[in-house]
Formats: sequence, C-alpha cells, structure tokens
Amino acid sequence: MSFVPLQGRATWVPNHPPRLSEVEFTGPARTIRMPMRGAIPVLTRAIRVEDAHPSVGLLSGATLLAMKLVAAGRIRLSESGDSWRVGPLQPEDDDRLHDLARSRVHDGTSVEDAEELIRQLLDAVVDTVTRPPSAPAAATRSPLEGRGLDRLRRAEESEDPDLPDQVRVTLRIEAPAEVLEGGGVVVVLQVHERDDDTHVVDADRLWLETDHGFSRRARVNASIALRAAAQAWTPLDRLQRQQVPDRMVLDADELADLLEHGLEALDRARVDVFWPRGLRGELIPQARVEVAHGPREGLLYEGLFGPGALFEFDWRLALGDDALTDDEMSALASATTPVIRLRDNWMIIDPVVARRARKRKAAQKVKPVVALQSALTGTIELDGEQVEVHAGASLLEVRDRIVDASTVAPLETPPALTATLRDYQRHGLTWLAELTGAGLGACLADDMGLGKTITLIALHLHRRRRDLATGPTLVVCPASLMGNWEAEIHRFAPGVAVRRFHGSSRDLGELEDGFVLTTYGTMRRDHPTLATVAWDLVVADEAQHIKNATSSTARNLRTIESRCRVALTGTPVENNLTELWANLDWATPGLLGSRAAFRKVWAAPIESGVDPSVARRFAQLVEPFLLRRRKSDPGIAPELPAKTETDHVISLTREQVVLYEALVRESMDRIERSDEATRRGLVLALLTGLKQICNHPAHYLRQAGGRLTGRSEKLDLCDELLGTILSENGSVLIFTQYVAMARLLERHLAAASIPTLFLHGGTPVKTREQMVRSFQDGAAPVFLLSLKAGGTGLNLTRADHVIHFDRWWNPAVEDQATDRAHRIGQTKAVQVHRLLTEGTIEQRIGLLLERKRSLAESVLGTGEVALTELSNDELRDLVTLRTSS
Amino acid sequence: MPDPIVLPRLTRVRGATARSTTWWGRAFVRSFEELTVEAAELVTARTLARSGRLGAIVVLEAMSSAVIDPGGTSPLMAQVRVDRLDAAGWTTFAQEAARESGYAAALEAGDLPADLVEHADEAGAEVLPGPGDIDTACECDAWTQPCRHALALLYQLAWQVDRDPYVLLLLRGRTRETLLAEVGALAAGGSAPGAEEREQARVRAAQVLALASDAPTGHGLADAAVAAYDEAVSRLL
Repeated sequence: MSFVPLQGRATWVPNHPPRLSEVEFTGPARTIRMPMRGAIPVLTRAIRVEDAHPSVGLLSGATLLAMKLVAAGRIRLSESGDSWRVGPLQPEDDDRLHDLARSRVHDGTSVEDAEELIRQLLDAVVDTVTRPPSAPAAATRSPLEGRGLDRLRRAEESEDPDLPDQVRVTLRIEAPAEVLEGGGVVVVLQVHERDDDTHVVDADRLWLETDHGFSRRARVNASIALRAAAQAWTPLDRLQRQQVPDRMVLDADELADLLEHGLEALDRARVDVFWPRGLRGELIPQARVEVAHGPREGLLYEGLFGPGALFEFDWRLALGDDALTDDEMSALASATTPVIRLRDNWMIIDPVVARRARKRKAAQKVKPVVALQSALTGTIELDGEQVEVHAGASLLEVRDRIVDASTVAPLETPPALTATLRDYQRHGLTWLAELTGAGLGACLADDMGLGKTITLIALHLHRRRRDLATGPTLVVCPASLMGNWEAEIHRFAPGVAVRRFHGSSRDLGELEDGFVLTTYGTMRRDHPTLATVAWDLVVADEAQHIKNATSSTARNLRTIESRCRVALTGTPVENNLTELWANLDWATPGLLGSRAAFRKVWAAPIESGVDPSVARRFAQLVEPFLLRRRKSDPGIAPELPAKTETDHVISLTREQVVLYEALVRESMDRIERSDEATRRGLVLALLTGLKQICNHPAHYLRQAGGRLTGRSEKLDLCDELLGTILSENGSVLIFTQYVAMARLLERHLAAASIPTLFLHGGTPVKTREQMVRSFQDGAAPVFLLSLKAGGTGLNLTRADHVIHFDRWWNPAVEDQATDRAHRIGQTKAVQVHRLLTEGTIEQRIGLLLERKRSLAESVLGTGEVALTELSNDELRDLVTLRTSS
Repeated sequence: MPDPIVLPRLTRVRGATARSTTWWGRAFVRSFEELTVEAAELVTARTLARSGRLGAIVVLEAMSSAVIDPGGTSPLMAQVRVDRLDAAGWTTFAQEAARESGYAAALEAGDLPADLVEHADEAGAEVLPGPGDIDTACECDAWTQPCRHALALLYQLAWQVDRDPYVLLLLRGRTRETLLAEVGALAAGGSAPGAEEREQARVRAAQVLALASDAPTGHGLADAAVAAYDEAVSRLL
C-alpha cells in the first residue's frame, strides 16, 4: 500500500454507518479509493510527508485527532446503537478541531466545510477502530416491555445451573499515588463465593462480564450483601448508588471515619477489608518511664516510692523498632489527613494514633506506683490501651533490686533478736526490708508454722537499727492471736514495748517505738483514734480478714496511714485474684489499679484464659510483692524442726469471765466450809468446771444447741487455725479431754461443712481401725480425739497439725497424744498448737509445771488428784482469775 | 395469571398496630382517605377493620376483595379495584431501579426506596396509586363509595402493605417475581453497553498513536519501512 499517492487531492466519501466511508487518493497516474481500514494507516503517517497535498494533510490531522479521542475514551454509541460516534467532546477538543480546520483549509473550501468533513472523519475513524457493540447491550435502550425479560430467559437457558449464587462481599483498598496525594484511597468491591473464599472476582467483572463462574443471581445477592455493608458503614451507600458498584474513592474524611469507626462496624457485619501490604503504618507506641531527677550518682533508693517521689513518662511512635524523630512526630501530629508520607513511603495512620500524637506531651509526670507497675510489666496504659514501655536506667536498677529482693544474699539476724533466724526467714526479712525500705508494701504468705511473726519482729528491729523507722508498729490481728503476738515479742525482742489497744485498755499516749496490738473489731470501731498516730509500719495479720475490700474492716484499715504496710496471711492468696487484689491494694495502694480496672485489665482476661501473655505480665507485676514459701518447698523442709510447739495464749470472753468468777466464789466458800470427805470431791468438781468454762461456756452449761461462735476464743482460734490448715490442704488432730467438748466441736464443724472423724473411749476397736484408715486415706481433714491415754497404737501420720484444745497437765500424756501424728518415718514436720486461756487455772498450772519442777513431778505422778491436797490458800491462789499482766 | 395472594383473617387488632409505619404505607392510606368527605366514616372504618369482622383478603393483580360481617345483616362482599400501571410505566420503573445496584438490593429485601419512587415519578411512572386510581364497590346499600366496608378493607390492606410493599405493587399490576426479574435483567447487561469494546478501542488507539509518533516519512515505491508501518497499523484495526 505504500504506493498510495499523497501529493494529489484526497477526497472524502462519507457513508453510513461511518465505518463504511471511503477516501479517494488521486495521483498523476491513478486514483485509489480505499476503505477506512486501509486508509487509516496511510493517514496516520501522511502528516509527516512534507509534500503531501493539503487535503491529505487535513484528513491525516483529523485521523490522528480521532485516535487521540478514542484513546481518551471520548466515544459513545449512536442513537440506534449500531455504530460508534465521537463524543462527548470537551471544549479543548472543539478548539483542536477548529484549529485543525483553519490550518488545513485549502483551495476554495470554507472553514465550516472543513470542520464538517473533520467531524465525519472522526466518526468514521472511531467507528472503525471500535468494534460494534455486542448484542446484549441493546436492551436498555428499548422501552418495549419484556425485552429485558426475554433476554433474561435466554441467558438463563444458556447458563450452567451449577454456578454458585450465594456470595459474600469484601472490600479491597487500593492506593494509587494520585489518590493518596489527595489524602484518600480507592475502595474496590470484591465478591466471594460464600462456601469458597478463594473464588473471588471484582464487582465490575461480576457485573460486566460472563466468565466469572458465578450465576446471574449472584449479582443480586452481592447487591444485598453490599446493602448490609452500607448499613454498617454509611459512606458505602455511595457505592450502592452506582449502577455497577465496582469502586469508589474515599476522601480523607471518609478514610478517617473508616479507620476510626468503619472497620469495627464492618467487622461486626462480617465484611472484611483488605489493605495493601505496608500501607497501614505499623506504628507502635513506645514509652519510657524514668525517675524524674534522671540518673545520677548514688540513687536515693530509700523511700523512692514514697509520697513525694516523681517519675517521668514520655512516649513516641516507632516504625518497627525504629522510634520516630521529633520532626516526624510533629509531622504526624499536624497531618490533616490519615495519609502521610513517612520515610519515603505512603502510610495510613489511624486517627486514634494521630490524635494521641497531637496530645503527646514530653516528660509527663506519673505516679510512683504507675511507674513501678510499668517497669515490672513492660507495658503502660496510654489512653486506655496497653503499650510497650522501657524503663530508664535508674528505674531499671530499682526494679531489679525489688525483683531480686527475695533471692539476694540475706541479711544477718538483727542482734537485738534473741533467736537465730533460719535461712529462709532471713530471706524473708531481706525481702521485707527491701520493699518497705523503698516505701512499698508487701504480702508475706508463707505456710503456717514458717515463722511469719518472728520475721516481722525481726523487720521491726531491722528498721530501727537502720534508722529507717520513726514511730511504732501497729499489728492488727484476730483477738485470738493477740496473746501469741505479745508472747513472741516478749520472747524474741525483750525490752521492746508491747501494748494492747483492745477492750478497756485503749491508751495511745506516750507511745514509744514498740508494738501496738489491736484486733480487727477494735480497729473497725476505733480507727479514727488509731489514725492519729504516725505509724512506721502497719501489719495486717491473717490478712484474709480484709479480703473483702468493700467491708468496713477493710475500708477502715485503709484510713490508717503509715510509712509502709505488710500483710501476713497463711492462705494461698495467689489462687484468688480478688483476695490477692484486696491484699496488695492495701499494702501498696494503686499498684493493681482500681478494683474495676483490675477486673477489666487483669482478672477477666486471666480467668477467660484467652491471652496467656496477660497472666504472664500479671505474674511479673505481682511476684515481687508476694512471698510465699511452703513447708514442702525444697530448701525449707530440711530447715524445719520435726516438731514445732506453739502456745496460743488467749483471753476469756465476758461470758466466760462471769461464769469463771462465780464458780470460784461459790466453790471456794463451800470448800472452805467442807469436811475432809467432801472437800476432795468439791475441789475436783471446781477444777473440772473451770476447765470446761475455759473451753467454752456451752461446754460448762451443757448446752447441746445454740450459738457457739464468739463465746470462746479457743473455738474462734480453732476456726482460724483450721481455715489456714485446710487451705494448705493439711489435716489436723484435735485432742480434748472431754467427750462433750468433742461433740460440740463436731457439731460446730459440721455446720461449717468440714468433714470430721470422732474417736472416743467408747468407740469399738473395729470402728477405731476403720476411722484411722479413713483418716490416713484423706477422707476427712479433721480428726477429733477424746482419749485419756491418747489412744496408744493409733497411727495417724497423715496429720501435720495437732491442736490440744485443753491441757492435760501432764506433759507425758500430751507428748503421747502428739506422737500419734509425729512418728518416726513421718516426712512432714508437725506443728503442735496448745490453746491456753490467759489468767486462768490453765495458765497457772502451765507456769507451775515450768517453774516448779518438783511440783510438776508430783503432779505428773498422780495427776489432778494431787491438787486436791493443796491448802485452801494455795488452791485459791491457783484458781483465782487474774487480769492480764 | 399469577396465583392470588391470600391474606388470612385478622382477629382483633390493637389500636397501636393499626398505624402505618412505612412511608409507602402512609402514602397509600392518604390516597384512599382523600376519597372520603366525612372524617367520622374513617374512624368507623378503622374500628371495623380492627374488629376482626373481615374475612380473609384476596389480592389479585389490580384487584382485592374480602367478605365482611357487618353485624345484623348478612355478610357483604367489598371490593377494591386499582388501575394498573401500564407496561411502559413498569419498564420505566424497572429501568430506574436498575440505575443503582442498591435499589435492586432494597427491592429484594422488601424495601421500597422513596427516592427510587420519586425518580420513577419524574420519569412518568407513578407506581403508588393516587386517589384517582382507586375504585371501590360493596354489596351494602350505602349511597357513596368508598363505603365503610370498602374503607375497612383498604385499611387492612394498608397494614399488609406496610409489611410487604409487594401487596401494593401487585394491586398496581406487577408480581414481585416479575418486577425483580425485570430489574435484574436490566441491571445485568444494561449497565455499560459496549464498555468492553470501548476499553479495547482505547488500547488500540493508544498503540496506533505510539506507532504514528515514529512513522516513516518516505513515500517512494516499495519503501520497506512504509510497508511495514502500514501493515502494523492495519493489524491493530
């Protein structure tokens, strides 16, 4: 075709449809008439031929213009729909057309004629380059009823009936640079087969094509799914408004709204949103906490977490491990759209993150406990979200000291202590000293019998020796334990003042550096008085009494200020999160957050067990403040003596005092007036009556029913001990001389749903053996025994505690009873608890036994009968109730 | 002829449930309430509609009827006739509905978008009947129509229309299936006639322009470069 003549005139031969038009090229030798298909290649290059005829130039320019318009998509179907036309033209297209006509007008033709020719040629080129529309497109144009239906029927007939129609929709975010520049993104609708997620097409294919593997019905179902998505997030309504809901541009505001609300709403509506890799900035907040005065020589450790302490908190975002610079942070904070350019990459930032960045302040002050909390867990709460935090060097040093406190080389036993602490007790002391030294509270939760009381006394002495303490130590404990505290302080720290704040003695005047003992009940009523003292240390013994933080006991205890607080408990608190919170929140207020916050941040996630990392972080947070050793722990057991004996000295209740004194008064009168024959009987009756009163008023009064609690501290202490023993999964033998008392105990424990076994002198031998087997097998944790001889031959080695509810006045008998539990081969250490009522005959005889060996021996020989030989004065001296020394 | 819709007899209805809750339900109620001069008749008719004395209602294309126990006399048959929207009107409506993919979804879900009906109105297809499109008849000896029995039937129809606008569209002459099929068919292919052809043409034109920008200038006989160019362009066409 290269021989087409271009130097002669070219004539335009229009036709209909336009693609059938022709061009006639004339040359000196011949004339060639060419169809559009042949003419277009010639005309697209003719413009570069210098000596071409102006008419050829005109057609050539028009052809190139037509190509440009087609490339720009400015073509449309004709009215009848059977051919293509140029248009709609933009104003600049009209200008080009006009310019072309003017520049190529030639011999005699007008500009208007030229323009008309150009328009015809444009249509012809367009119609030639573009294929005729395929048949189905004709439908919309026809207003005739049923055309659409006919077509549908035809389509349905040709469709594979197995194609799926159940679909779900997802959104794919696309981010072309030009849209990102404007702060927006493009949302593309994707349609998935409901039962096969991998079968997915873009909506425009589903709507406009046929080879997508979905049935026709899928389109409607996709529309319905999109409608649900638009109800979840309304900006998608715009997509619904399109005939083909294929894609839409989200502007900056809509994108921000999508990130802040839309994603969550769409997620609830189960519409997934897919983002291009790396577009959503993986910006993670990184925080830093440090002691406010910064690292300096000789960090002031003592009282670091006291009320005046200051800590600073700072944070910034990090990309991976790489923290943003100040400039980058401020660029991010000042961004007006969610799309920002960061380190040569486009990135979409959550509005929440951007807002946070705007609010960011350098070197915020934080409370000491929050700083400590973050140092321990490695996270800190920032606007309601846990973010990673790094502790500064000083804080880290402090943290390490606290974390290591229970394992570092232990302190020596304070010289003022008249006992040698065992190794684990020295570790406990060191740990308490470190924590209280830093102004923090602690919860010592060792098993009963490991010596929490002596450790605490050692702490008291240690703080004084180090001149840390000014002010006395307050011990709040159950009434039944006050005697024991007093006795141990006297015994291990002689010279240290002890005073009871209880009953009638409530004097806090001229307090020295010693101990003040009070009960939970007295503290509850009289806390305003107690709160006036500048305590150094407040100790809550048997801290399970404050496990209900909303109780008045717990609330009132909180009002008593001190430099530091220590909770002592023998129950395994770590198994009950609420109890643990109550203990630690009293000891170190704020460490675990408010109760509600604690439930939300820790308890609920831990109990649900969804995220194990929460439990791990919690353990990191709590561990330093909780020290719990078990008797069975390796390293502890060998240090324990095989048998530990504790005398629990307790008081009589008002009811007991009245009964006791009345009985002494009446009996002594009668004894003094009696003859020799009756005297002995009267004395024995008196002794027995007094011992019964000491046990329990109900015992003496022979009451089989009625209330038992609160009438005898022996019983209350027994409950206290049992609570701890049972929570340690231990078992216990309770000895009493009196079957009646054993029955009362049996009833009392049954009411508390504690299984018991009960063996007395009348139990047949066969049943005894059965009971012993049951106890050894763990059928019941409590074994009540009332046997004069202590039941020789009974092997009850399962028990790790022995309670002597009343005195035998014969150490040999007591030991024999104790030996039921403690025998050779026993691996566990046995704790022996002797319950002694203060100021009564029980204590008097106990003292006699210790002091007067000779009397002891005589008593040992003949038992109580020997006492009947005492003179009236001696007897009166023995039985008269004395008020506490 | 499609199967008629049979709406089962309603036992007594409490007052509150008798109010229309949809915009099309309210529009329908307005259209027939305007036919009555006496407001008192409307109250009586509403009471009758709620009373449980209407039997099951039969809805056919453009027509509905029910048997009513007027109390005292023998049962009466009341009838409502609605002018059909002509075929061209329905096609216009379907075309409007096919313009936005969301409309088809709404119609499938039993919703009648207000703006869709508005667009169709503007295009000359009034889907909701006006007062002039509703005609009633009854066996009672009332002087004017609609009588209270026909009105009671209309009220009950309005409650049903609330729940399902296709009851109303059926009264205007189209079943749900027919309408949805037509909308579906139009939405399907009608979306972008020739879109694919246009896209292909754009690509071809761009390629031609790329070739033309470097076209040979020779015009001599048997110029190989020119021949190659012409052939390359023709292949694209």
